[in-house]
Amino acid sequence: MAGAAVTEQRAPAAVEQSVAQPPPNSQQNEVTPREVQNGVAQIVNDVTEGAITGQNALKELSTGDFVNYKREGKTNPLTGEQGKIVGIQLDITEKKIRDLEKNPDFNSKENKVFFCDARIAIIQQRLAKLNKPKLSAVEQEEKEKLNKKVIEITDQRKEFVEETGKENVPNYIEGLAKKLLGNDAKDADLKSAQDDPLDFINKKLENAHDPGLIQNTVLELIPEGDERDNVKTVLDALKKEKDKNKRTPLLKALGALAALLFLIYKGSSKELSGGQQNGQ
Amino acid sequence: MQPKTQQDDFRKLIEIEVLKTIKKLAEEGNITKEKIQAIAKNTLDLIQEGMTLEELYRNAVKLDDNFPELSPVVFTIMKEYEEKYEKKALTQVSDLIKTGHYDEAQDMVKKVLAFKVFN
Repeated sequence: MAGAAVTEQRAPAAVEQSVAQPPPNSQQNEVTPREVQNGVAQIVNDVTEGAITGQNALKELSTGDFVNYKREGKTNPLTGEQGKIVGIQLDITEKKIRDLEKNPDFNSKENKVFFCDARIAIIQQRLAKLNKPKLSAVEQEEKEKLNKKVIEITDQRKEFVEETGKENVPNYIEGLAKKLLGNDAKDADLKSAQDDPLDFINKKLENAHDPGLIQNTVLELIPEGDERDNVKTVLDALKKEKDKNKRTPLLKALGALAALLFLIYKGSSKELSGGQQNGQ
Repeated sequence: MQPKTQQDDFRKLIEIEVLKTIKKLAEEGNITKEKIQAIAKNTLDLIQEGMTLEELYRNAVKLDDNFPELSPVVFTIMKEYEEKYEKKALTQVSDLIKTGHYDEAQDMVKKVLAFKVFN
């Protein structure tokens, strides 16, 4: 790797600016998209080759003169121009970046759909806190910003779904809530489950009179594995234990497990409402 | 105390993701020089050396607050964070359950949930 062999210190951007020649096609302060593309490509390629750090690249981009960026000994693929020597701090290697990109999950469209869902859910949590009669100017601004963001992410999500042709809208808590509440679950109940999943599950479990129902409900939603074994162990103990004091820690454990499963499976493709399991 | 390399690796991942997105936007001709400068500056302000994993994560999800172009970066970062770091906490919860430490398990889950809700 040519860039990796160079170990000189990178000169500060200001120094480079003083010696850099303006691009041949620049007119006063006008910068063409081509020049922007070229400057960015040079800098990012140097990062890819391990010649400069990502942080230094960002520092370079934050200056007004990054379009003139050059690196010594390296030919600009677009202009054929030879760059000047600049300092180099070996930090992130090309191999490291390639290793990252080998990760099959990296940047996949399916993951983007999942993260759209996750982000919308998180924003809605924040919006719920702003759902009060009187809002300060700051809160009002925050609320508008969040609502706008939900619309933006929803649009992005739609695009990702269209691109992949895959729907990915699991919602563990809503599925569990519907199971525990029945098909006539009210929106308010579902909302309370969304707002504070752990509290919701704990209350439901405390009030549930039929441990068998809980067992069937919870186990139905969990594929084979450690978590399922954990839940089963706790549920078995709960069924046998009649002493209220001794049931409390078991219920807490169940609540913890349910919340744990919420975190684990909220991104899976399981169809919760129908109890089908086709987890990825 | 988290090992320094973990934080550094995460910080570098964030920086690289931002750079990749800037490069892509520049290739498409969809971004001005000034916008690139602003994005780079905003990233440097939010993502700094010496931050803990949590600080990096909390700041990273703000990257697209003013720059919706960076939304894909935020998705990737969230995914990386959850896969690499948050799942460790979940494994610990599982271990606590197995050893009968139910209260501790619940406390840990509460912390994870609180962290997610906060962000």
